[in-house]
Amino acid sequence: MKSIFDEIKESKEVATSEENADVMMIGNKITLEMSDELLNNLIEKVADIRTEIVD
Amino acid sequence: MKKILIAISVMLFLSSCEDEKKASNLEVDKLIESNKKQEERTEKIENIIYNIPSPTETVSILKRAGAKYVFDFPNDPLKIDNYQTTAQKGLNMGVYGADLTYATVFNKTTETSFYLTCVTKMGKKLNVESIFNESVNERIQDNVDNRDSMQVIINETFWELDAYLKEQERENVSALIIVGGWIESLYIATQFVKLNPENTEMKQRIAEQKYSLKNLMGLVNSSKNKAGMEEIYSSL
Repeated sequence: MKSIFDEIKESKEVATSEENADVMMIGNKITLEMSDELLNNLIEKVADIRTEIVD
Repeated sequence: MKKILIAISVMLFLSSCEDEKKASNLEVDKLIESNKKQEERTEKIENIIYNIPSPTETVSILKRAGAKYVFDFPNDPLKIDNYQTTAQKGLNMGVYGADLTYATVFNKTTETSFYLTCVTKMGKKLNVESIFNESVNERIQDNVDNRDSMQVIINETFWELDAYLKEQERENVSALIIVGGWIESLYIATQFVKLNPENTEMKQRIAEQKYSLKNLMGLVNSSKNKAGMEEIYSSL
């Protein structure tokens, strides 16, 4: 099973190639803009893990 | 003959000293290795704490963004009796701690009282009632109308809890609480973004969690063989 981190990484790579995501280096701080699809995916995953914890 | 016996005795004595020295070196090596692991874990936790916005920080962003308190977001206080295993108790201690912060930041006194009861009750279940004691409860109740003081008390108490658990060599419980609190504040933030997709600050903050997740997985991995951690690692 893929972890959220793997999925974010993969989605980020796809998103970058499709110019849907933007990564900027500001000093040593990395700013990452998420695509809507990736964000929705993350929202869903977080909700699933949270359900596993509280239910 | 006597000389031979003395010589053998001396040899045996020296050999025994050598064995003791080897055993002693082995103990020192083990201690160094153990300290090294502890330092690595501390470094991971520091990275996580540095990178993960605390529940206070996350809910403060929500508050700044003009969000309203959503009663459905936090965990149900009535579920507290369902948590029986160490993993369930540790994780949900973190969850209720984040919910307590959420209620505090939004000045919800009734909810603050509910989640304070949950955290105190969970403290007893985890045998850390010396940290979540009557004195902490009284300090919180006395400051129920002073949001800033309450946040300071809550944060201080969770820091004390972490230090106490480390002292008791219960780092796995400490890791479970960190994971639970992180997931709950991320859950509240993502649910807010779901309702307010135009809020770029919160979206940005959520995107940054990618790095926190990496550190968190490292922390969970280092405590993987302890109660409850294997399951958590696979779900992360």
